[in-house]
Amino acid sequence: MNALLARWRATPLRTRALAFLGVLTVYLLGMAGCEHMARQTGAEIVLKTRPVDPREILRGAYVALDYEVERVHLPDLPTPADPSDWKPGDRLYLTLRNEGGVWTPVALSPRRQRAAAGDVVVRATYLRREDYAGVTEPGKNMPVDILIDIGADHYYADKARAKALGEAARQGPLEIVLSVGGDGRAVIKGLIVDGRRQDETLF
Amino acid sequence: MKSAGAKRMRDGAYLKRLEADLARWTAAGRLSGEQSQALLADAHARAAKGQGSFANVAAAMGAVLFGLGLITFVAANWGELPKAARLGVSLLLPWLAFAAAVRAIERAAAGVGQAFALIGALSIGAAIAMIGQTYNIEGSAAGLFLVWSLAVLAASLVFSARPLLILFVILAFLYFVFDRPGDFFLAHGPSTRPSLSLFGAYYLALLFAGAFLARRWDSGAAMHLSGLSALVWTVLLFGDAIWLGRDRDWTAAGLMIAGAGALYAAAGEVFRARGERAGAIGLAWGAAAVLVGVIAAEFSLWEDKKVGVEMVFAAAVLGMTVWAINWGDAPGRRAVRGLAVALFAFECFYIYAALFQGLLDTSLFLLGGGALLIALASGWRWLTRKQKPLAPEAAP
Repeated sequence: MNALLARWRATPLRTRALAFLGVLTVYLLGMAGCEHMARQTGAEIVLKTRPVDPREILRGAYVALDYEVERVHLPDLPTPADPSDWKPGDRLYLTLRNEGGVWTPVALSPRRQRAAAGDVVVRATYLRREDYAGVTEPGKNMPVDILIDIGADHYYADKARAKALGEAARQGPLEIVLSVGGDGRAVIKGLIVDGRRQDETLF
Repeated sequence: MKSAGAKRMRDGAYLKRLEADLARWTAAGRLSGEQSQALLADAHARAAKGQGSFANVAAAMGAVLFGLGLITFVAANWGELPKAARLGVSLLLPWLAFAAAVRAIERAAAGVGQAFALIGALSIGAAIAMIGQTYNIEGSAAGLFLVWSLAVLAASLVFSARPLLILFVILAFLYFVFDRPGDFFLAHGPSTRPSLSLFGAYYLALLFAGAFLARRWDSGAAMHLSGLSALVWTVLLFGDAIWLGRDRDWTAAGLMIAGAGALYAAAGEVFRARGERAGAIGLAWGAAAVLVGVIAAEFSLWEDKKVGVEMVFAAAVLGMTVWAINWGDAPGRRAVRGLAVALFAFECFYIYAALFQGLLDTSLFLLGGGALLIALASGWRWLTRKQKPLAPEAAP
């Protein structure tokens, strides 16, 4: 270890700094490039969302996106799901099907399902379940809503744009175009505001 | 400025004490006049060097403010700029800051160079956040702090800069805090899911890297921050992670924390005995962990209302503090002594509040304990006087 450190210290400072900055630059460019690739190559879905515009200390103003598909009403799913063993933070896979232009949940499972043609499987995180105790008759199977997080829930914009998006969403639903990769990760590809689509670009 | 003034006052008082001691040792024939002068000159030189470091401290503080300005600039959402310009600025900032650092260090302005390196390290965080914002990249705060801390670790190795090492230790700790599952025990109760991040397993590698470099570069601030981080990690490990949703037993948890602290202290003592400052600092933080563990266990016993166990425990703790106060009377062990005095004071309060809650019972317990200690002290003095007569030069 001492020899390694001595050899490292013997390397001129400029060489060390250049090597470090080179690696750092590749990493930072890679961040932007990988995200752009994910946007371009994934399966495209369009989801409705309800935005709010909070603020983050490190990354500034953004529109928090609350997708309608992130609340899954289990009795509506064609494929039954058993959430009794699920714990907050568990990985789930949500299968979505395009039904008349609306992407609708058809299955929710802790194991990745083989998707039918045209279906898209999105990676999600289990948050919690909401039982309707006291609302339905005791002893019967209670309908359950499952709350999940599919990610892609921050759209960063300057304060004025975030406010404008919020206003637009109050007029009608704001739609987000997502690109879903082979691993199920969803990234924001664009927005549809007032029927006009605005795609994210690299530059 | 106030702290610099206070430091000058402390240095002045120390030099006066040293002058008096040196005169006494020279008069007793233990030092020659030349040796005495050389030691005094060295002490004066060290004090003067300490005063000169104000410029470095000011430069580092300025760098921190500048770096925070960069990060808040990002948070202001500079949406007017096109994406290419934002990406360019994100990449350019670290390059400019580190290039200035290299230039300053090559011109023998190490303090200014380290300040620029610190700006560069802070700008890495700003760059990651800016690119994340520009391209809507999803990510957790833990992920940001992990990548940032690793980059700052690399930068600190490149520049051998202590300020960067301190920043790395802080960022790594923030990664640990944000990487833990949401049921952080202070806010949400016991954990329910085992995971490596719950145990801080990944963080340990970063903690060791920081402590290793802090010892190697003799950075007191980084060593202390590593010690504090190790203390928090230990408390979370034994106080939260190992129970995994079962009912937490704070008596056991407190004893485990205290036991781990004793191990850290023992390891620190080994290095302290070799004359290493890192050892003394490790010893101090180990003793702090013992203090935290003992207090946690005692509060738990208090709630359980086990008076007999409490009395035995309190007596054992009092005995331990008396031993530690005596043992801590040596260079590099003063923090142990200070913590033992604090624990002694806490224990006296605890005995009244938790055990007896009545002045008469408390006074009897304390009178008995005090009389025992005085008897022990008298016996000890009698034994040592019998074995070793006073040296002639030490006699009044």
